[in-house]
Amino acid sequence: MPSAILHPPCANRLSGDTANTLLPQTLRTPSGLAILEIQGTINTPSNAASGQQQAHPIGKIVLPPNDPAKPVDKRVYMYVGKHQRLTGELKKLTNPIAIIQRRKDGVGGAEESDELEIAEIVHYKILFAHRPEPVGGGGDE
Amino acid sequence: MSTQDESGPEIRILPEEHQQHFRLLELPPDLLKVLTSVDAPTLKLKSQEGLSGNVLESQTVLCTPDKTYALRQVSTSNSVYIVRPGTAPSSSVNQPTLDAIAQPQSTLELQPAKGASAASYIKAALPTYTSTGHTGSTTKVSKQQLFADISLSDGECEQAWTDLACFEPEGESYAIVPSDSVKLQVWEAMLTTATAMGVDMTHSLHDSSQLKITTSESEWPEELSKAVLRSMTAVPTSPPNEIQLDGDKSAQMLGRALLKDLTGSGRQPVSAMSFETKWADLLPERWRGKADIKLLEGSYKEQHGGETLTFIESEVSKEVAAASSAAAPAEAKSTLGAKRKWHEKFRASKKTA
Repeated sequence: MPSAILHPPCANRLSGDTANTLLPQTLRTPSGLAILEIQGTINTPSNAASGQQQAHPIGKIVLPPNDPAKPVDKRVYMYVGKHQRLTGELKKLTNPIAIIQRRKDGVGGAEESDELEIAEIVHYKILFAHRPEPVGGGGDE
Repeated sequence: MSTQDESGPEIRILPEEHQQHFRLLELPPDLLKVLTSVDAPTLKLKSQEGLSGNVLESQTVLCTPDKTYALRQVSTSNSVYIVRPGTAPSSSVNQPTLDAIAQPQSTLELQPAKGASAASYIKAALPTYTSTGHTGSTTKVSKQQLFADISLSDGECEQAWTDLACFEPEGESYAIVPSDSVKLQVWEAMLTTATAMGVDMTHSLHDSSQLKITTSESEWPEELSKAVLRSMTAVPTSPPNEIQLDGDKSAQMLGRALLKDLTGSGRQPVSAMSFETKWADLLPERWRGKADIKLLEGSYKEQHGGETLTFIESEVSKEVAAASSAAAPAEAKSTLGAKRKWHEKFRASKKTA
């Protein structure tokens, strides 16, 4: 019977990235990985057409401030383009989710091995469960 | 709003060919506890190949050292991204961003596995060791290979292996399971030897006394004798060089084997009185009283108003089979029900439109 090894999360999986403080406390994980769920699809231009190799910017996300005094604030906004706003929330998962990837082998983790590992365990996700609402252009507000 | 707008990080999606591959796995509370413990164990994914050669998701299991979960792939119509904070080079300073680095298409859900027991698999897969040698046309497999073939955790396999008194003959790398009548004979030989040598089988047995019992004038392989002894111990055994037979477990194992040997495979029922006497004779003096038919609950059928007994295969395995077959349709029904409701929810708006 074919089988595969699944390693538990690595204890020192710190991203070493100060940008991690970007996320609110509830979303923060050692590796910096988080889950974002949107009802619907985001259409990005295919690279063959645009020739683009870079990450494709789709908008801005506004996360709740890192204010321990206001832990109740879970609202998240995402502005796509100039006229659409998505309202979402930080949602606690009923069951935490393990993010699994192939284990990196070799010098500098260049090669992928047959073994799997849990890259991160997340307890919250950013959920946009509603349709986008129209907002006025930036100049109007 | 516009000020808040500018305060947030930019959200970006990596082009598909630069995305990483991740799978999402839902963790039930007990598994989460195992994984977040200080010395978290390595897990194993085992997948059984379907008849068509395709690996079906439902036949993949996730094993912790002692537990098994069935894997189920669940898709959502929502887009799920895995995001990670990043930075984008900007004109003056590095702008913080949130980068979507992967888009997993489904989530794996776990349910406690309700398949066949390890014991029934082992019995079917291994050749049976009888007093005339080993029989069975089954191909020889090592213990390691056997465990790898069972879609259950190593802990569950090991437990069944011990309970069935399976062993690998010395110097060989294939496993065999002794028949019930062999187990009885081996035990009787050991008990006789022990009595002759003044060893009390109800006390904890040190290595030296074990050696006397298992090797002395025995016509049986030492590994077999040891396996039979181990099958009668309560888990876990305390010191490694000592074993302590468990009274109830021993009586149960011997009673079941005896009844199966006497009445199994369509033979005549046995009188309850003579069975209990024979059974008690098999036990060390101090444990004679443990030969009570209640101990074999589920393994026998009474006839003629309880005067005679017949062996029946343990109800537990039947229950498991029944439960798993019953669970599947129930589940299908509930998902169907949910889908139906989904349609009902929209039917109202459809009619008015």
